[in-house]
Amino acid sequence: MKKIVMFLVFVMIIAGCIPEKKQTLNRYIVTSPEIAEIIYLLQGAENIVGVTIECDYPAKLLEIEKVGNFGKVDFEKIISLDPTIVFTSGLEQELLTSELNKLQIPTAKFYPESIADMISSIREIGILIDVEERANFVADSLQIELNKITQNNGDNSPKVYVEIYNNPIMSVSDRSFVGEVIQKSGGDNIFAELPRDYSRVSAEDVINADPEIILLTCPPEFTAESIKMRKGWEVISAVKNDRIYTALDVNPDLIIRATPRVVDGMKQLQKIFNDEK
Amino acid sequence: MMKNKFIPFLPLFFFTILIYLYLNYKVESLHIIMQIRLPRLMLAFLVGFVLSGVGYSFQIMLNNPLAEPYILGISSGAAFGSILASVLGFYLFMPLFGFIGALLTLTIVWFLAHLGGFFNGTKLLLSGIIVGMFFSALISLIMYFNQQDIGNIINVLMGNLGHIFSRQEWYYFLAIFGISILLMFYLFLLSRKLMILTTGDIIAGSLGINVKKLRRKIFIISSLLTGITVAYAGIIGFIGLIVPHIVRMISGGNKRAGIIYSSLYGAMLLILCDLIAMHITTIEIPVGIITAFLGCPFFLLIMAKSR
Repeated sequence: MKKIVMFLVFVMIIAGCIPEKKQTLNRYIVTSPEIAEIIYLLQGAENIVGVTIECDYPAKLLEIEKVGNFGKVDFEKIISLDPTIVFTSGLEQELLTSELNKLQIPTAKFYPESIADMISSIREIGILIDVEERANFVADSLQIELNKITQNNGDNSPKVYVEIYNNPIMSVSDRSFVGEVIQKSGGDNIFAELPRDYSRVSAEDVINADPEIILLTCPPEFTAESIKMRKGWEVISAVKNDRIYTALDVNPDLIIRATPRVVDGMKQLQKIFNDEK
Repeated sequence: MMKNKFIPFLPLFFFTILIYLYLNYKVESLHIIMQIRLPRLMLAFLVGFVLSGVGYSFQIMLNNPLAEPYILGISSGAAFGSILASVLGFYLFMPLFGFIGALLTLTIVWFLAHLGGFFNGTKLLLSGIIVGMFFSALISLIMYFNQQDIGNIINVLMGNLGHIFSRQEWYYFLAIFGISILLMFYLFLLSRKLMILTTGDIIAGSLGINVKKLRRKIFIISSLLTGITVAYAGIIGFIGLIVPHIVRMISGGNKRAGIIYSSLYGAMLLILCDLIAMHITTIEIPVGIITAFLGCPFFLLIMAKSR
């Protein structure tokens, strides 16, 4: 008898440990900072139950449970959060997407590689998370803003060198997102054609191209001063005329991330590009 | 007699340097040649020169045909220093940190090699390999947690001669260049005694050579020089292994002047490899990959021959 009572108590304790199913219908996990921003803009953070540590804007996202970083996530955590959709991105996350599919967790992959891509992604995400009207409104007004910016471009576009990494030095081609942003804000990228969208370049080619503006998107420790000190770079127009812009002048997230904030980034860039020497 | 066998290579050496400097030459590119290509050429020269010379003397000193400058763990220590500097954000201090890493490794390895109370070549090799593995593990750890710095880390691990000098740094480099060449010359002066060492410690000692002191000198100088190359150019494998063997094959056995030839031809081979690395594809590839491609078949050749 005693044993049976003990057993029953034991069973009840175990049963008590099983969590109740949370009531929210939609539970999203977002592993890409760009998509997290877009979802937040369309719907707020109420349905987002998990993000990666790179999702740092808006600040509200920082409070949400972390499932890992962009390159590596904790699958147990993802399963325990019981998501209805996991929003993934491209690059390192191609593998993640297929592994999640193996675990039969529904995924939606968005990796906008151009501005037009981003706008259509906003519409698609809107349909997925059931805020289609708002998404269409955001997308339409974004398009109008972008058209306005392109109309305001000056007649002569200055030659621009974008440095996205410093050792080895790397730049972007016109086919990349950043390249398109530069172009549409009225700049003339000196590396229009590169073998890859984001590619290593040689110091020689930068000096030969003689850019009028240098834009650094690397971490702010890399200052304009360090560029001026580079051996042989003193002949470049941008260095001579002191037109080197760093992460402190233009927030790199505004031009690297494919989110509606790119409009702000483009306005800032346009100001720099239109400004006569 | 030996000189004659090497002279045919000299025109090739000058020809390589000319191509290196004047490829795609335009009149207005004099600035580029002086400011970008010449510094890079000097760096490539120094690295090839040091690694091959040090490799030659290590192979004699340790009496091991597979010995190379990196075998005593110095490269991993220096690479760890550079990588640590880059993930901490001190990009401009990467060479300095690399050099400190090399000094640290040198001290640890030297201490470990004397643990039993006296020096022992096998112990030196073993402690070098162990310390090297330890630092490699640290590098992997840093790499895993700092994926945004992966470009920097690859540069250090695969070798990169495209170091962008700041104007101030360039004067330090010139001084280091001069000092390194002088140290290499001193190493050459020591190589006469080193040759006697190949007959064995007891015989060398009976001929009046302070074996312990000689080993210490060579070890410290070589490690300093290797540390300098890794600090500026990362780890460039195989040069320090294959060039001494090539020189030995041409000249037939260990010769006193071998270290000079080894250094010079190491410099030439690395310049050639860098030329290939820069121009074989549209994007520059790390020079360590080219040297490995040339080195691996050669390694097999040595193995097949020495059977």
